[in-house]
Amino acid sequence: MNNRTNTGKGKRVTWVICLITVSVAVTGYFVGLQAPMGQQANRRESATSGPPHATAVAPHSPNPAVMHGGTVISATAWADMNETERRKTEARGSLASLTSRVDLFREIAISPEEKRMALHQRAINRAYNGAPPTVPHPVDQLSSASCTACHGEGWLSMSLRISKMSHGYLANCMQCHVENILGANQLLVVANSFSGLPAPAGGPRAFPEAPPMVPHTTWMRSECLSCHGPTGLYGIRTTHPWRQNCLQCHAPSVIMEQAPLAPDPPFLPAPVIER
Amino acid sequence: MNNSGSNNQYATAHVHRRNFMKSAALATAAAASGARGISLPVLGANVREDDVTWHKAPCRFCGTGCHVQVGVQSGQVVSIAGDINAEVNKGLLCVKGYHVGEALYGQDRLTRPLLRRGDSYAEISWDDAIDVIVDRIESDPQRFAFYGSGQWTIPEGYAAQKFMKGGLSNNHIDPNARLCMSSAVTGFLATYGVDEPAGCYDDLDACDVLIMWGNNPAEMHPVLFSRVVDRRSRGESVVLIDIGTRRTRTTEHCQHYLEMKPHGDLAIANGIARLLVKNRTYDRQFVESWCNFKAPDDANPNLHGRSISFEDYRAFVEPYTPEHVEHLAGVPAGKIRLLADLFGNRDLRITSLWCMGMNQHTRGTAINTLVHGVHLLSGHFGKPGDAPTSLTGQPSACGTVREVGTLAHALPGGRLVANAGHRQQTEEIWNLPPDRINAEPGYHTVKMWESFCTPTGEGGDIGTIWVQVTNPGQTLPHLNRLFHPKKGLEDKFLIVSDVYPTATTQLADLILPSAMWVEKNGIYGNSERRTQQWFKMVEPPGEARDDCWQTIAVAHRMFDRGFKGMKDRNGKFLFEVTAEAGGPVPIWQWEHYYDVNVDQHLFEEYRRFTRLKHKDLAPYGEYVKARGLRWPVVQRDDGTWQETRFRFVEGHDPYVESGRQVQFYHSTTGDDRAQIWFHPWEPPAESADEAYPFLLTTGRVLEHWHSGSMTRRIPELARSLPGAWLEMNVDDARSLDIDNGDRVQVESRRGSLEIEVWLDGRGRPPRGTVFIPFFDETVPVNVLTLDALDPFSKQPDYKKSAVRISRIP
Repeated sequence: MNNRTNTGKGKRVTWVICLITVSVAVTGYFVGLQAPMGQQANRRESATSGPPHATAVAPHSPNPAVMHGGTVISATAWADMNETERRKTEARGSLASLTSRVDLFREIAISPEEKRMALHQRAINRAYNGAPPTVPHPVDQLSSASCTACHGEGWLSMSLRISKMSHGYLANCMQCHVENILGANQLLVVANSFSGLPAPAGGPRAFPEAPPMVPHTTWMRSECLSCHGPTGLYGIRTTHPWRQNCLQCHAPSVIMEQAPLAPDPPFLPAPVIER
Repeated sequence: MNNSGSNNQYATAHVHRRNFMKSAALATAAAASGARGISLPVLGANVREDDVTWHKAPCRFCGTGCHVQVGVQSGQVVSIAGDINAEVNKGLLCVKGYHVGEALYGQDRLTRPLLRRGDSYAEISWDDAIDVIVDRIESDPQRFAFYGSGQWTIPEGYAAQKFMKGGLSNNHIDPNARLCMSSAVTGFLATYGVDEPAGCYDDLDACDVLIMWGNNPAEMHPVLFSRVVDRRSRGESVVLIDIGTRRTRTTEHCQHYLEMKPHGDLAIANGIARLLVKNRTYDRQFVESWCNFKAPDDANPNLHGRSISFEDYRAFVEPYTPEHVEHLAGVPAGKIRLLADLFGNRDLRITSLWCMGMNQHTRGTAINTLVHGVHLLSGHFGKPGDAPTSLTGQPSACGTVREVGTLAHALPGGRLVANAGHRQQTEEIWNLPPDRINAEPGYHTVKMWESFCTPTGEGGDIGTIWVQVTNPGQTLPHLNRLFHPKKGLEDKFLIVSDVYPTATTQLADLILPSAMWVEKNGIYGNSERRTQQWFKMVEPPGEARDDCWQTIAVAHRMFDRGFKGMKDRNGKFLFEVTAEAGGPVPIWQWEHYYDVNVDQHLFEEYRRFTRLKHKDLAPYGEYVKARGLRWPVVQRDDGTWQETRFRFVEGHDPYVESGRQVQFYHSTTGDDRAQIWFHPWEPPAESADEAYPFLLTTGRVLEHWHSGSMTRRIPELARSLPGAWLEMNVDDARSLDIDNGDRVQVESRRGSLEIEVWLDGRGRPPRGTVFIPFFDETVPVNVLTLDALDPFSKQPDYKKSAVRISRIP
């Protein structure tokens, strides 16, 4: 009797344990599918943490690394695990690829087409030349520290190019740089016919081999290497990033700098020549 | 304009990019076409079509008053740069300022006058539109009202003011600024006897402690906020304290966050005062030399109150122990002691900032005077970095509304319609016959719209409202009472001058297309008493025309028809401008409006009003040369004009008598002393209860300005924040089974709306509080808000409306 009863209880317990295990597994499977990792807040968190409207319009914003021409090794989804052959991750790069691959002495030879492409890409998230660029990825709405973690020094790896801040540290990044997760070409409800000043194709030179002048302000662009350095777009890179003192050869404009100086150089009176 | 003696830093220097390229090729250091001085209207000068010219202008948006350099090419704005020579912003802007130029080019700009015909509109000529307006006014001049804003330029507001009070003998003119800073005005008047902050933005460079009372400058006044937080990057230390009802971007920069219950600010200020008195850390010398004490006179409530002794004051604040304040405000007692210790320390410089949190408050006048009181009691006043400073949300809330006085009870230069002497002075300057100006104050904003939305048979005695430069259909509180009922009232007539279709034009009977910002000449006055001038740079689209011209054209049509009010004592037109050659210039004809600088004429006339309250303005030409000047601007013996950084302080303010150190020369008690007020804590007009368990607060966000009619048409800003959302505490959301992105219904006792939820997004409210920004015209949060008013300032409270929330399945 005792034995039978115990066996019966034992069976029930086993069944209950199995049931719990299975339901936990099933729940976990679906919950795992629905909730991406690393998101804050509540249960059915959407993939981007932008405002709900933005999420509704653009549920699949492109990976910023891909947008910038990098390559990304995508992780295997839980649902695909069983069908996936288990092997070592393809060795497209070593751990060294996770460090910034800035090479100051790499030879730079830029074609006019590459330059045109760079200026075009640069214009995508700027209203006009000189406008603060919008941010092509989701941002932490509250903190600036997360911006400077990457943009403080800039970054270049096989998969990612992160531009360095073009100006000194300013504490409230999102005062000027706002999130633009929809991409520049999305239609708006109301069209706007503003046509912004384009970036100059280059600074003027006195003669072909002369150093070009700076064709834009250096205000908010004091870090020349932000755009022209190794973490900048290829088409507008300097050929000599190892040189540290840019303005030694490339003169800025007193007008663009809004300097409180006379726009025309003043001279003392010319000598009076009697004839 | 005269170029001589100009020390301007190319305020309007023509800078030609093409020329720059050419001369740069010659390797000269500089390159620009000649005009070094100042030129009047900038169009049509010797400028090549494809050259880029640069000119100064203040930004179109908030009350900070940043200067921008506007790049114009082929008659279009193509670029914006922060103005490096402007003291306010020193070259920095916020994202709205950088994109302000795009506000002109939304493709649905209004370009023709439109008259309602049933459910649609007919395009009509300006001539006919003016006739329609004049017919409406002449049919009953006393049932006409003018509703403007703190975005009126000074000349626009001045013209509207003169048209109404001088021309129609009608005082029903009020601005949207009534909804935004009138409690700051009553606070200044009750404390100092004269309006506007004594300090200025220079305090932000010098303060050791910055206390933000219900204020989120990281988003609302970002350039000023950066002016403080960027000091830390330079190695300076500043203590930032946020007293608020939800965590914001500002909170993230603060050492101390004091999360308070609504109306907790009243208790906090009294708690600080009590500790200062009890610990004897108040500034005895300052108080005994320059302050009196006041308490409200309940039998006869006014801004004079009743005088009390220091002992009375001590007794009044005695109940506000740190523990009692903790109970009332929800802020830990230790934090109250911390604030009192800071204020009690004479070695620190403490600046307070506030804006809508203290002003949109049914005890707005009370909390404004209490914060001034804490600063006066502790002597944190009058030294650089020691200042109680209110901020404004509109570019000319100070310049146009508070100084020109486009309020139902005011006349220019701090005068009152109820004061016979002030009316007489105004009639003198306007050259009007005696008793032209009505002695009875007109309707304040809420009363004006309430009367407009009440059937004529039931006492609704406003029949026509003309709205310029604002969007009351979205921004008035309790829209279902103060705006929407207009739809059923066929005899009421709404005229709206604007640049884009808005919630207000939805119910308009006549829509007038306006010029905006650099499509016209203008003058603004920012939050720090700085008067700023700019010139027209591009043509407005289609038939859009200046608001000021619209007012003058209507006035002249009435003059033509023989309406007596539009004539002065000598029978001349109220707005007559005489050409140098003699004879009037027909400025009421659009094609002649820019034959002269009408702004300059109106400004020079208005300037005569500014001496009474020692808010002296310099001649127009001085503002052309400068990036704004802070009044009083007083002429020195050598003929130069000197601005004033700190008011009431010897060595800075030229009106303080020698040897007085501090002199409140407009004191309400006539003894050169400021008033330290006591006001008790009182609960909000509406609190959460079982039926409506959440308290809704409303406000702005960084990317959008006011009702969003401009910023939502700027691609970079619209894409960053396309629409409004509801912000709530994650635990509250969980308890209601609400998730990120869910749509919810929000209901108050006054209306309801549907909206999406964004959790842990831009701001983080505590349990029981929710937030909705008001910029989105498709989610009109003001159907929910309360229209309870501050008894003195008549300003409504948009920050505390009880709501209930349910998820829409």
